Amino acid sequence: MKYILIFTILFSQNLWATNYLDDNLNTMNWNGIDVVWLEDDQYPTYYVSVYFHAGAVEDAKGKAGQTDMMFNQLTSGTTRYSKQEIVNELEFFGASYGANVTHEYSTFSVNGLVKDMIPTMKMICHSFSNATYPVSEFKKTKKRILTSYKNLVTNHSALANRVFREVSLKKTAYKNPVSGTMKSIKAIKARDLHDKLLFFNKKVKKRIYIKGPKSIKALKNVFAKDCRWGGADYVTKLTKVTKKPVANNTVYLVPVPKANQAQIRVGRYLTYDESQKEHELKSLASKYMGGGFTSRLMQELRVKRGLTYSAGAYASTQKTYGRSGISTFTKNKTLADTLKVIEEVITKESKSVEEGNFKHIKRFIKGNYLFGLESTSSFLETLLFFDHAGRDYEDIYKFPARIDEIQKKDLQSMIGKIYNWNSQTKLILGNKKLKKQLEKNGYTVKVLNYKNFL
Amino acid sequence: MRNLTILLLLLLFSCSHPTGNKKYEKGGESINELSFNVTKKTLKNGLKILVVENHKLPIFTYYTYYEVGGKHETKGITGASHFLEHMMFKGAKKYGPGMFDQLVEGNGGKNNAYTTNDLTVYYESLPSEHLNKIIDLEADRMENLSLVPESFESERMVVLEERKMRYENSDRGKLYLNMMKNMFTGTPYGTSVIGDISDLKTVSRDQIYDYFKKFYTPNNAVIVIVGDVDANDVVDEIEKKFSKIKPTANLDKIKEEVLSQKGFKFKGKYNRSIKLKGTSKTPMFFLAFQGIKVGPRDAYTLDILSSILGDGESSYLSKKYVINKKPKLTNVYAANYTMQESGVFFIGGQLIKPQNLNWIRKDLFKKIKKVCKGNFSDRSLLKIKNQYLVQMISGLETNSGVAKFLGNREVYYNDYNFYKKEMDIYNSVTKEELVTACNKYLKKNKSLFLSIWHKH
Repeated sequence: MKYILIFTILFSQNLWATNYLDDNLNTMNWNGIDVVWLEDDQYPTYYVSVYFHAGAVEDAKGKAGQTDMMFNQLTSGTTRYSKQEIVNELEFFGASYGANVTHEYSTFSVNGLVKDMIPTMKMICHSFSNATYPVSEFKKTKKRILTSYKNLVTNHSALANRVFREVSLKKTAYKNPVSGTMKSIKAIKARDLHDKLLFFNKKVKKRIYIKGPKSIKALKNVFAKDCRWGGADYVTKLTKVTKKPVANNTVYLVPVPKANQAQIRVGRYLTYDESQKEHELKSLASKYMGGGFTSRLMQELRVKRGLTYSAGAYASTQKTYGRSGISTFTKNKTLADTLKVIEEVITKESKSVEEGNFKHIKRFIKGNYLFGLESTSSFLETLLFFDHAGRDYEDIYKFPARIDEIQKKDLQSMIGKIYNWNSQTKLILGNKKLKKQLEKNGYTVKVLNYKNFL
Repeated sequence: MRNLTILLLLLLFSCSHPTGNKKYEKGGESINELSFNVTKKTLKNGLKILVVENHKLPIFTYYTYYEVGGKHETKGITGASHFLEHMMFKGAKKYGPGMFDQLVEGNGGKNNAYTTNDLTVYYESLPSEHLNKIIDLEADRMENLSLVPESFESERMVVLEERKMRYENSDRGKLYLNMMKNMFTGTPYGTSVIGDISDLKTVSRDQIYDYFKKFYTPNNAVIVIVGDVDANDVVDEIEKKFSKIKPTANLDKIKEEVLSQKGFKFKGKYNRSIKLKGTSKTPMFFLAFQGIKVGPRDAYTLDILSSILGDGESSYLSKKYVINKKPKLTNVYAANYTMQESGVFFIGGQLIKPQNLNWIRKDLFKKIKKVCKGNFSDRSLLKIKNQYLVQMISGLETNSGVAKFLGNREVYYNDYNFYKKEMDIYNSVTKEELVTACNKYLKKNKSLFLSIWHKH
């Protein structure tokens, strides 16, 4: 199978097949829409992901969450079927389906058994073409969403992530959560969803990614006749993030009731320029700092000191911006110690990476990169993202060689660049008494009310 | 659990299904031609080995099942299995502190582990060329785990933080912990897998070491390897490294002594409500019933019943409470959690409004009564069988998925091939059987209603 050979190349790191992917992935054009098909007949299942070249930045002013809600309520009723009838039908086939909306783009994915592919996709397409967003369903959904936001306070990690996003991306076009806020959800009307769907159906450029056997070709007619999708060319105009984040010593404290652990989020956004280059180096830096049990942060925080259960670092990029940071938690009384260790690790590693650790992380990241692509649907998702970001598929199989080319000084420099302690936004979510501990350790503390971020 | 995988529930098992690569038919039919080419061998010391060659990619996954879990812990050492799970990565005689992770991750691999009431499971995935190294590492830690005092103490802190994260700071975690504690009061399942705080703070290195010596032995383990390997070579290598490790004498007797102290007969106080103080702004609840252990036909029937009641938006309870005209709940679900010796069937959900919970308890019993009279369609039964088929196949795209699939069946049924019978049982379950099981198991006097929110 073609897919197998891709991996053979990845593992053997041979670069002789420069055009390998082009030769072995099937690309087609269905009624003006580009289709990427990965032939896979190992199991009688299929996976379809429709990429829309528009995301949550298209939400109307004050209506954050509009695009996300439009996709997620797609099955709430059509001109012909009620919500109950639609979910009855789709779940009968054992199909899984759902949307993923980012600020820059959106996808709608479906998977199920090949034998039920046509009726399933016909129902999905019927929903895209005929969704009416009945007001009664819409009101119920809003109520459920609002309740779930109120209850976010019970999930400290998720709440910390939410507040951190808004605080660290302040003054960029990407600060709002794609799922909206209580205020913006209240402002959205059923009509807004319908209008948004029309826009996505008629105007927004699409690309289709499919995994399955040859019989998936029958979907061509379904997309044309039932989805009624054809060539569209609207592409979201994205705002490039150009201004670098401002350094400061402020720690944002978000008090929540009955917290016996402190959630720690440290990070910053990456500008457009930072996001466009050195992808492999950024990956290496984030894995080195917090990408496994042997990462620097896990070793220093958990293994050596028992300060936390888990610590992770990330450096991810979209098309126009990126985010890098560190995420962990600790008990209340060890908050200051934990922050100090994180700072020390960043400072040390940005100056001096040990040779043994350097070789280790290179081997680790090369192997793990491949395991992330073991399932064909994950592999397709990677292709989809590469297309969105305008990256060449070559990057996938050249990844190991590019990692090999990285020098120690490059890694040190990247750690210093993206994790530099002084340029990070620092946020703690936990007990209100943590304020004293932070101030005692020299931080300027700004208290934020979590309710303002729901 | 060592890191971010499942500790709380191993529900996957009771709702997971076999794979096939030949003939798949619509729900209600069987998948008779499914087969894995498994090489199986049991060494003289009792160690079981299963190997499946899959040459698709030059990688492999290595699972080790130790048949020891929360139920084997006695007074004062609750959480020992899980604590030991953490310590298994802290060094042994040949490969000292930190070397396990160094060797796995340093060779491009990944590893993790999880603990349940019945089992502790370790797994690694690496490029195939490193298989012999992993066999050596696993043999070393089975035979000669060090339990270095300094590591032991720092890991104690880590486990306590994990406990806070999963249970103390999570309303859902608290609900689950209390459901298990009260449903299985006085039985080996009535202790928490992660351990009581007092035990975690006081358990000694010697206690954990004794536990290790007793249960981490070849006659209490099953190794499953799937990937680009030569099955015969693998078996030879494992035999070379593991055959010298001595089994625990009278293991069955030791286990029996531990488990029979309390027995598994339900002996808690049922038909009552338990209110827990939490932080949730609207109430969250579990309605739990005395369930059944994995294996008997009723367990499969209850799997299907739980799916009919609360699996997906089109499930019975979702239609009544979530996607109906006047929804009362933000979400609702049902699960049949079957363990080796007993089980619990539960329905969970969360109210949309901040209001008293008495009505939902009463109303749930009314709805259940209707289901127990057969008030559900034949189509919904067929739907569940379709869904099981998809779930089953979806889990088999990776070596890890196949290893877990076969390993679970080997451990629970002593037969990795049991999936064939399993699917036949699911497909043969009738509406009448569902009605009978519903009336037999979903009884008020065998139930507990637990709820949590900030106003309790």
